[in-house]
Amino acid sequence: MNTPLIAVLAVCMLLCPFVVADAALPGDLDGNGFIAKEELASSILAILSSGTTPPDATLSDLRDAAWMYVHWNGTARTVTDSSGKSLTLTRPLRRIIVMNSETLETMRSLGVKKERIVAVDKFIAQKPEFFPEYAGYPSVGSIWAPDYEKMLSMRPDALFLYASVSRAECDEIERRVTASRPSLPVFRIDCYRPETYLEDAARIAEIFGEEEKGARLAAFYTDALTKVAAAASSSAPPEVYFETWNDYKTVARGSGYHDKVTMAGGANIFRDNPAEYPEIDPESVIARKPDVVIKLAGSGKYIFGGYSGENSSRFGEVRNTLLGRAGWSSIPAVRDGRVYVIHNAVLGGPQYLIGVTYMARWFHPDGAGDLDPESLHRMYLQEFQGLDPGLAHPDRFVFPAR
Amino acid sequence: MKRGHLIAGFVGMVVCAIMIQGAAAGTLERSIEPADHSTFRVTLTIPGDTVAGITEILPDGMEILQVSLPPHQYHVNGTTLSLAVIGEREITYLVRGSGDPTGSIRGTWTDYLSGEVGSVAEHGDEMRGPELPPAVPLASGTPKASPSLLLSGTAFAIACVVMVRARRRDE
Repeated sequence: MNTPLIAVLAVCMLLCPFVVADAALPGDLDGNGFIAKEELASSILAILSSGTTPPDATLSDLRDAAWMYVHWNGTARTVTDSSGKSLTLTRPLRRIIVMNSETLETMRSLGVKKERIVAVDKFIAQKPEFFPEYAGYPSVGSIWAPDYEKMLSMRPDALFLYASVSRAECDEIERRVTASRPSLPVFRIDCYRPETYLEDAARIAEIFGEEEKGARLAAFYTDALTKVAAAASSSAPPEVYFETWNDYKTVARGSGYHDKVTMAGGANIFRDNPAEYPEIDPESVIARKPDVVIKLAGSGKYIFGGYSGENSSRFGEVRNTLLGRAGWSSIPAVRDGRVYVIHNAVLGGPQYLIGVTYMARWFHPDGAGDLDPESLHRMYLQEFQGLDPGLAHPDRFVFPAR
Repeated sequence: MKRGHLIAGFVGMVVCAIMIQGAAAGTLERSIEPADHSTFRVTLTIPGDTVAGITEILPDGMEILQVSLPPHQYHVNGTTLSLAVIGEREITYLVRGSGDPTGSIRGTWTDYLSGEVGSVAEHGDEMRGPELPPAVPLASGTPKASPSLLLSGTAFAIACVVMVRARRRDE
């Protein structure tokens, strides 16, 4: 490219920052859709040579151009979200709103700094033990009761919502927000389904230019799940009754929990039920004689334990209640002491690999030599979440803990 | 020279080298050395891959002769040199003047990835400004020495040399 021309364009950029701010790519002085090294250098020299403090908009353009040059090879980035929608970013995201705690957790695993996030949903703001940096952070309500006015007042440059869960509510939020701000990118990313989790994480890594950390996270998951698969195939799958936090509400094929039971090497006794989350007749549990019972805690009337660690003694009480259910004394799981309570924090979202590791150890005790869910949990918290690994104490998440 | 002297000298040099390397890590630093006749080679060491702007202001009477960057990445205006750093880890330039410029060049930097700004530290000088943070990960685990550690390392190396010479005299 013609160097004097670039220099002239760079001076124009310095004098008229808003013109450049409106251009497709910051620092793309010739408008060819690519920020060349020469263009970046010219922009830097224009600012340095001016000898004065540049306007904020000019500096912001230069910072965005520098970031895009390093992380996106100087071009716009097109990312396809979990819903299949393609979005093209012409600037790095610096003011995002996240209404999906699993996505925020994944962002943290990928090193996305809090400084890029201007607001979160109210449930994230209410989890100070797990999201201490967002305690008291601006909240824009929840998916079920969003505060649109506040959302728009935060001047976001992107919004992150679920793709699959609460789809109608998220569709409505997207519709209303984009009606006010048609150019606002709305990413629909789940980050909770095991079969797509690493793809979702890779999408986020791509958006934030954190591909290396994405590869590290993927390696961590792949390694842990390979060990689970080895244990799961070490013996015949036991018959498993999985009960959600609603009594006698179970899971079937198509639900994430069914997939996790299967991944851990269990055979879900209600796998063929036509509903994904069926309510079942208590007698049918006794009739199917499960070898293992898993009870999910963490919501409904089973709120205890987890990262807050509150009322963790209730794990034992809940298990005793299960053991005492009418007719259950004849169930092999009760007879053999294979009834377990697990907190959803290590099964429902990105930490599913920890819960699956616990379950694989329960399902295949003889083949679980390499499985150490507590160490895995500690490593995840320390290396990916930047949290105290002491939070991973099994007493907070499973019962019996050992 | 006896084996013990060699070992003492070697250990001193290694300790000194480690200190110097440690001091350089994490800080944008300038070092100056005589080149030829009345010219000096100024080397700027950038601790990580980043995008930054550096302004070096030389004392009056000095002339900038040569810069290691391509022409589109620097600009000279009298005694002011503006540099656009895009991934380079080391930049050198030659200056000519009547005296040694050590201690008289003033430099500032802005990291456009992190947004941080600071002064260019002169090698062996007291560190000035915040460290230039790595926007793209630096080699991790590099030790960073404090100035006092650097001084004590240098003192140790000098002591080793003095000791070796003293023993040689005794022999």
